[in-house]
Amino acid sequence: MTATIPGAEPAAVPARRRGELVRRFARHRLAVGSLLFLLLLVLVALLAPLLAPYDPNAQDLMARLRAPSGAHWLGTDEFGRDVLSRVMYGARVSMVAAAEALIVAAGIGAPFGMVAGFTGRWVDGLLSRFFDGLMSVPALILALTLVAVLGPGLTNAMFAVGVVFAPRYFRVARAVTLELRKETFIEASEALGATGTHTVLRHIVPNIMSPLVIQASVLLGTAVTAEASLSFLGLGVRPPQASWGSMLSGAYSYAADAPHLVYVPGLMITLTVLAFTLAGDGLRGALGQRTTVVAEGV
Amino acid sequence: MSLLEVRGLGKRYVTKRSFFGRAVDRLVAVDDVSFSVEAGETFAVVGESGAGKSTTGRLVLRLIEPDRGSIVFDGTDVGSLSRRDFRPYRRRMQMVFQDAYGSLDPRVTVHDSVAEPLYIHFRTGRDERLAKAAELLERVGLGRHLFDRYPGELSGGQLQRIAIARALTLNPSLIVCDEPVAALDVSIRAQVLNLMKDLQEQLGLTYLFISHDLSLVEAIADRIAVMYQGRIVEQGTVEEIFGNPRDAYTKQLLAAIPSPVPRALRGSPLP
Repeated sequence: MTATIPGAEPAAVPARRRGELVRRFARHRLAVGSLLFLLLLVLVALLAPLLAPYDPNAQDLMARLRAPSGAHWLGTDEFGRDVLSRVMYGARVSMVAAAEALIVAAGIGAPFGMVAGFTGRWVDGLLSRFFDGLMSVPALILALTLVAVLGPGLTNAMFAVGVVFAPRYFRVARAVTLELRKETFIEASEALGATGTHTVLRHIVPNIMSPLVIQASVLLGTAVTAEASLSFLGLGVRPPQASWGSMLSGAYSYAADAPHLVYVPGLMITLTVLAFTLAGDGLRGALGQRTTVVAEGV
Repeated sequence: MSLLEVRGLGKRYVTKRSFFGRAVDRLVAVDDVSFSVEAGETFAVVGESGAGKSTTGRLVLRLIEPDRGSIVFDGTDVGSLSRRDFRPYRRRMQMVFQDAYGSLDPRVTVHDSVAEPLYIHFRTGRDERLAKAAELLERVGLGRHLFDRYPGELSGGQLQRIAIARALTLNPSLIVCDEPVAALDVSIRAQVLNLMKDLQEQLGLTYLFISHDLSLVEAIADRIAVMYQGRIVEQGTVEEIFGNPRDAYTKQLLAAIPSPVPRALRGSPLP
């Protein structure tokens, strides 16, 4: 009566489970490596003014398109700006832009998804159709429109990306809420006299956090690509501000003479997206989620 | 006056719709069910699975909205109230589910779960509600060292005690018990049933006890309603139903109770 049956405990037990979670995450070597890489990236982004050897916008026309050397570890670009410094400052732009898209997407998608999944009936029908429609809007086109209306700038462009990503959050939140709705403890909450709001905030939200966090890792990776695409097209940061996308955009005309200008930001984008995806994979494994989520292009 | 009086309760589900959304086929889950439950008694609803007994329990608590019929609780027609106006009545009508583990949020400690109803209805402060919950958990026989556990860390019997404690938090008059011991080990069933009986005596509780197990019902119920295919085919006191069943289905059900001594051996000397 007092002893728990061994093996009968479910895999996930909160709070005390945190140690277990870390242990299971640690088994995914690639995920741990990815997480460390991302942490390093955030650190570099935060400390860029301290770490960068040069002013990222300082031009030195006497030292254009230099290959990597002792003075400029990653060489210089077409205006003689230090590539290492620009990559460091570019990391800031990428991180902030990805975070913005995530906050907008999750902020719109998750609450509506929970409402749709919990309320059901016509509310679900209406919201689902609306978000399906939103999903059919190409991110870049909406970003272009928004930039045309609100004026250029990465903030406006990434807001548009966030809006276009919102349906993915909506779908995940709705699906897991629908699944959770069938649980007896949700019915029990109603039987106790709880309002829908109380049930959602107290019992739905904490129980759907893991899939939402996993979705976040995928979305962040995609958002990094989106920022690069937008800046490459000139919709993101404005010169001379550095971002990985704008660096690539400037570099491709000199690809033959100075290939390092393409490799460095290109590699950063690739590694970052890969790291978000792998870390998300590890997290999903550790949380015992079965759904597979794959990063998609814009 | 009865504590609970149910008249002509019915619930149908649409199982098939035409292309244009018109209902083509319906399943009658509960059909014209009427009964009354006196304060302080245990009223059992028995029947095979699919007979509509669980649905009946949920209709009484409006966890499922009835299509027709009235539910009068302590003199008030609670069936016709809006959901908002019905909410205060939930304090007096609680439920214990078959799946005790599933009925508790896996991410909430059992202590907090038992305290939660006080927050829901009265916005009681945390210390006060935990104190009341501790009192109830001790009353149902849960050791203090288990208060901060999560449902996944406890056994079925412990969880059902906790679910019972939670149902008692608001001092209800009526508790709908939906197969409260069906999922438990036989050895633990008796303990939980005895606990329920003791609580009934001490607190003057009324049970609407849903079960498929007639031998269990014989032990705990005062009166019984037998359901078959959504209808009540017979109701009466335990003595009437067991001593003199009139309905053919009731007779069948009684005949199916396993006996400690197989009928073939009854009356003949043991080998």
